[in-house]
Amino acid sequence: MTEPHEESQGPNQEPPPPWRVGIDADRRKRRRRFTNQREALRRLTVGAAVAATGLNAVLFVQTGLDQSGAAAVQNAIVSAVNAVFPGAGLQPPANLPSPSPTTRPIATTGGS
Amino acid sequence: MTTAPSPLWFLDRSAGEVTLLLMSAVVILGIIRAALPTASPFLVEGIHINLALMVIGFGGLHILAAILDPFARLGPIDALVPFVSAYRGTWLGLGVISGYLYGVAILTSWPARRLPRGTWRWLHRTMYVGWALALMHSLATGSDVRNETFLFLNLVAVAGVLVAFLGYRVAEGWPKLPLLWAALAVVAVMTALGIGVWAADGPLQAGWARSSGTPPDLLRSP
Repeated sequence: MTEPHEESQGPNQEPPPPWRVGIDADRRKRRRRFTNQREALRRLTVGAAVAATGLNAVLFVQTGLDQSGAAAVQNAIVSAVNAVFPGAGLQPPANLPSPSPTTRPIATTGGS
Repeated sequence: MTTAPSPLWFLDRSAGEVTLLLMSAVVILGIIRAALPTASPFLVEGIHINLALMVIGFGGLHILAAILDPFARLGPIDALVPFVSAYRGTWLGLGVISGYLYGVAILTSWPARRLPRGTWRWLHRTMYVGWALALMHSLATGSDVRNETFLFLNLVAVAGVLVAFLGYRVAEGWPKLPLLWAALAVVAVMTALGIGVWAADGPLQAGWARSSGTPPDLLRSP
């Protein structure tokens, strides 16, 4: 027969002495504080990584706009997307959008 | 031969700026950890270490993009040997030295401090120099130093490190050795002012690209 665990408090076991209760409570508090700090560290690290990556993307676009204009940034983003997802079929626009040669009105509401 | 900046050049610039900002945060957290050793040591040291590792990631991306990019025609030798690059060699060299100082700080701290405490501390303190060199490298090598966003972020980095140094490190050391810490505070302020004056007179002036050593065929206009 195995001996009961030192820290378990079964119905037949004597209650721990008062000095032991204080130590256990202190240990639990310290363990909880350590767990909380570890969780806070994880959150801070993930937040910092996301912020750094986001800032990198913003500065990438900013640098491109500053040095080569919007078209170059658009091409850079398209080529980056195509490099990551080769099957995406994303194409940069050949020209700027031009107005339609005809201005025939199209009915969007009402019935026949 | 490419004479127009490519997406890799943009990535090089953005990753370089993020590296400098992360490095500044690491320095600030190191200052707080040294000045207030009992203030949440697990949390402060933990985020100090994790951000230091992120610096390696973004710094690596910065170097890799610079080497792969055809615009400035940099090679692995330019990234490893200071002051040999044909593209703004002096200023690129400061970044290389900063990288080596950073490498020493990381390698002597990880996975455990194997050196005597005093030696490790002095090697770690060289990161103040490493950070200042990285800042000068950023100001002098970047082709977008006059961009308002980059300039603002650099100012935030300098102000953050200076305030942390004066507010935590000097304030903590002052009562014990007032003369030493007063001298160090003056050195810190003078260094920041000196870099500011140099930047205003050099990298922020028109014609810096030419005078900093950009190869003539990469300059936009004669």
